[in-house]
Amino acid sequence: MSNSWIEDQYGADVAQLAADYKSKKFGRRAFLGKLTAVGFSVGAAATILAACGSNSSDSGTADTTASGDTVATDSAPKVGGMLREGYPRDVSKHDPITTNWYDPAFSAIYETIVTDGLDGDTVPQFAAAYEVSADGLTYTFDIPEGRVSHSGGVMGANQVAELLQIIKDTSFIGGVSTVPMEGYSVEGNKVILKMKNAWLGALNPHKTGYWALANVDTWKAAGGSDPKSTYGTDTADGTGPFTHEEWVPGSHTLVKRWDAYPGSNTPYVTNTGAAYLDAVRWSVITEGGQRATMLENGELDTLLGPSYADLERLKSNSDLTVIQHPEWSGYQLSMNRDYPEFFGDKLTRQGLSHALNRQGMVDAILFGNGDVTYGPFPKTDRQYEPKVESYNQFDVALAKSNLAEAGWVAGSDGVLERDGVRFEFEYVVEDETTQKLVSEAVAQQFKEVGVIAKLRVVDRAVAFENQSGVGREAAPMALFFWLWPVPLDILVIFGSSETIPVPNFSHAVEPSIDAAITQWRLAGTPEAGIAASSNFQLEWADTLPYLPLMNQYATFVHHNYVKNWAPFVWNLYPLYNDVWLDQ
Amino acid sequence: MNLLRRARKNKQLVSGSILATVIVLLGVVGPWLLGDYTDQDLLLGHLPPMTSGYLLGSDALGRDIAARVVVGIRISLIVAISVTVIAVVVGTAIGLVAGYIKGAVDSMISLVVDFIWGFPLILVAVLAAASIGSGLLPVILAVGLVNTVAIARVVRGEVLGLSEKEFVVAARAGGYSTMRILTRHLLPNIMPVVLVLSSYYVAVGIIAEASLSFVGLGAQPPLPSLGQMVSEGRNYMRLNHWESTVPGIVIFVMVLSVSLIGDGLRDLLDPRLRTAVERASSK
Amino acid sequence: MKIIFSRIVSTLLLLLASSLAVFAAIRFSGGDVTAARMPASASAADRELFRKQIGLDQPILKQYITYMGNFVTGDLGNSLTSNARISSLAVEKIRNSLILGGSSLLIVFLVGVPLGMIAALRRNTWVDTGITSFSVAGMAVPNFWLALIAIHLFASTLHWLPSGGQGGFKSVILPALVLSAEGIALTVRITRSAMLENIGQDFVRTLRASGFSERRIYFKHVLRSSLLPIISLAGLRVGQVVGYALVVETIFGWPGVGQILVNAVLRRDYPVIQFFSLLLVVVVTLGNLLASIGYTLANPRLRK
Repeated sequence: MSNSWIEDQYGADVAQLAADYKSKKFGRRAFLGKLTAVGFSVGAAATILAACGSNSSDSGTADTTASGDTVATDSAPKVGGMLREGYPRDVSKHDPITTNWYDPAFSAIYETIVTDGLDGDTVPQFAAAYEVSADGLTYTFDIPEGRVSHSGGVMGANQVAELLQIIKDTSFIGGVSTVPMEGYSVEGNKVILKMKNAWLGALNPHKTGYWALANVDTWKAAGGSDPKSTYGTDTADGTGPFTHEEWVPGSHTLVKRWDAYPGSNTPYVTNTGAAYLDAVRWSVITEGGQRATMLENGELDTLLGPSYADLERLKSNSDLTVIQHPEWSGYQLSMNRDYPEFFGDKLTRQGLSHALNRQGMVDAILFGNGDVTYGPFPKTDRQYEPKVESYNQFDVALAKSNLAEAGWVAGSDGVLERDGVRFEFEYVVEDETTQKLVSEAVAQQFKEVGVIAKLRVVDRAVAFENQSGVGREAAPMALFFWLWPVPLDILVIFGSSETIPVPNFSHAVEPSIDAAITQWRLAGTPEAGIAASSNFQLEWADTLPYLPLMNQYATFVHHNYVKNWAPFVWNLYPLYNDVWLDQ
Repeated sequence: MNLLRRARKNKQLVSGSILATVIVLLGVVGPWLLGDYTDQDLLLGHLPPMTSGYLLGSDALGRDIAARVVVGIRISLIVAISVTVIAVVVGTAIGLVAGYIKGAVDSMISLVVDFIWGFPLILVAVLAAASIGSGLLPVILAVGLVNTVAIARVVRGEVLGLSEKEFVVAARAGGYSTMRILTRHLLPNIMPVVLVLSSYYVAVGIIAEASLSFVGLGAQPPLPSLGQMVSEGRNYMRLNHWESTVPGIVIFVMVLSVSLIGDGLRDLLDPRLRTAVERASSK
Repeated sequence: MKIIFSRIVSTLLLLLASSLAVFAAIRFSGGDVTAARMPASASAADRELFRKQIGLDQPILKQYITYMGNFVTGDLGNSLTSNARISSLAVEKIRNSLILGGSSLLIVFLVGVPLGMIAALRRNTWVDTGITSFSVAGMAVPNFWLALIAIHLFASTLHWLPSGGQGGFKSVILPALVLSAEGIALTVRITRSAMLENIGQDFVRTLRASGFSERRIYFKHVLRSSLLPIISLAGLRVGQVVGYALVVETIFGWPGVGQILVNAVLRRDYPVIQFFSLLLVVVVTLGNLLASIGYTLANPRLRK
């Protein structure tokens, strides 16, 4: 990870510290200590640490001592009060198996079997400990004795294994990364995950809300995966520090402290008992400017995702703290290969890509709060391959010459033509502020090189229908935004020839990308994983199944009286057990 | 001649007409004068008015707000006028027939009218946009339909009242044809109401198009609609509120001009109201 | 009374027709319901299974009959996106919308009618000019823009009132005022012209000649005769308030019927659209019915 990014984000002093850390002048713990000493929250410090790249090769193995001791609070936590958060989306139902998204409430209601450590490693959460066999084929999770869920139901190894098996088999998300997984079994108080082949990514999905540990008996009794199930709407039954109280779509979610919570197994959580807060309420406020105003007016204590236009003002408010982390997300443009007259040849796709002023869009639309992407991954991913930057740079002259070389000739009105076909196609975009602006900017940049992308702004359901059609029923071009904690897990299925037409919206069959995906799913060592990932990124940047555009930073703002509310780069949702209000 | 002189003395009518003329001129000539409204400059976004050659400032993508506003005016005028023409012609005809002929015809028409009248305008537009896709067409259809019904209801009510008046009863007794009574006796009597109403419905058309574009159901980008511009500027209220306020003010002025004309026409044309007004003020 | 009875019967028929119209409009509108229910990564097979589970593979007419059957037995179904039971959603959303819409109607008439009367009584004075200008401006200002300006001024700049969401009395003030602006203006206008029209009528002259006091004439007789158009307006206002509430609720993040309906349309959440649009139609149609009954009662000639 480049130092310049750190300098841009956090200033020269931090960049110097980071350089010293990288050259091993001091260790990780000392580095974190120095960062917190100069005023960074634990979460921000962890981000910087992550951005520096981990020197150790600890991924995939238990690291239960990781940086837990770095959490320092200036005074004794106070018990009580309700935390009021402003949330940018409608609330998702609290059912890990059938939800299409998981809200921060998941990290209050549920625990996952393992979770992200502060520097991107894996640490236990519900499990007391876990280990990976030397051949990478067996994962063993120790389930603590005597745990129950909010309803009082038993949460032993049997229940956990049954639930995980259901998630692996039926969850919509399951199919993303379960290919190398064989299945779960129980031995005493241990849950065993058997793999078909050794694979580094096996623990990644287990850290997400989609694999949150719900009480399987409650889940089945409420209706399981039936569309009329009342699980996640009327009831939710987890082992997290808060209980599901109210869930009102379009309005709010309310959780209350679970007094019987025995404390977290996660090493960096300092609170070893029940939560400090009485309750947490997430209000649905979809307008960014409105969330910011409500925070400033004291109607909210914290918020997720202010409008980037308001950031400078919020940062200059001494009552507030702004936390920013790169997120694993990105805007990508599909190019339907069933329109071979437009997108069939690589040279044309590359020509279109060179026409795009990605940095200009990051600056104008995201106010600089994002990174351009020349390949599939955001820059902040630890497996990011910087060589992708040799592709897809903004260069109008090169764009024009690529298109000319591909046989496109300007017609009388300046629009390109080839074999009697005008370079004019429909571009479908969802009616959402940022996506619309990005699309208007892109269409205008295409126009500069003689290509007409006719925007069709439609609501979300229609946009998806237009993206996901078979053959030429899918739109020639569509914009989509992806968001997932691990880019490889999700992007492989957007590019795999096995997933045409959904979610391979481009209907792209690229043997080199398929080969890279297979290589990744068979990667048993960190070296093999990195090689596969690098390969995947370079093939993506070169063959362009999609046009990568940019990612954005996840932004959080809180009042200074909110303590330990620390989303960090690996886990963008705070762990609410440690949060307290200094009022 | 008398009417014209009175028109010139009518302040509302005069000021409304002047405003409307300016607006129409802007909508007709502006797009030719102010250049390409899609030209963007990503480095020059969110400029306040009167900076760097941008008369009314620039939007998020550094596009000229002035150039976009005049196109927005044009779109707004086209939608509002076409909607009103449909609504006035069809609505008046329906209302006349239903109100005068009564009986089964009236019941049938009233049933259909009441049926449509049960749907709020925005709901009709949302359903129309969902069925045939967002754009100006569903807006025109939805607003046109609802306004037609609105005018038909008012006209029917007026005609119901008028048809018991002596001059209509006399005409009927005198053996005039229904058509003749409708067009020669009733229509002239309801014309003032219809004219005043139509100015009101031009205003409704402008506001409805703007509202629907504001929620994303109207004109599609890159075509700028005033409502859509207000919506796009919404995120930047604290940064450069002009992106929202300029198109908002334009909508306001457009509606204002039409309302003033409507009020002026009402005072000028509706003899009932005028005499009532005179009597009241002469006491 | 017979007229009123037949109005009620025809209203019921209208509602049935409306339910069919809404059902058809939504089902033919295209859009993939699984887009909101499932993540983009869900497979085509999972999507097909879900459509089957919720009965979308059945013929439309059969879906309608099933729906109406369930409806009559009190089962409103579940939201396809959030899975919440619509019956429990409805209680919350209707309550919120009633608070907002009710406050707005109240403001409209409490402010609009007196202002209109004052303007009529003080015809051609500066009071009249002021009120009339205010009403002309109020009619002309688009309410979504007024909402943005109100938020900018009272919430963002002055920090007096909440900018949105729903939390107590203060949070209803801005949305209710914005929703009322056009209604007040219109009510002022109608009240004023109705009063002026009646002031010139023969019965006023007769009353005046009979020695009744001016105040009694205005407040008892003229106002009562002027009620006709005002009552008609009330019915008309219900339709407009409901319609514009869709926009205003969305802007203020007010968790009412309008907001859930707009979101449901965007996601093709059929059962939710179905129920809540029908609800709006019922409200508007009832408003029209009440206006019509009121009109009939207030107009002796039509009462027979």
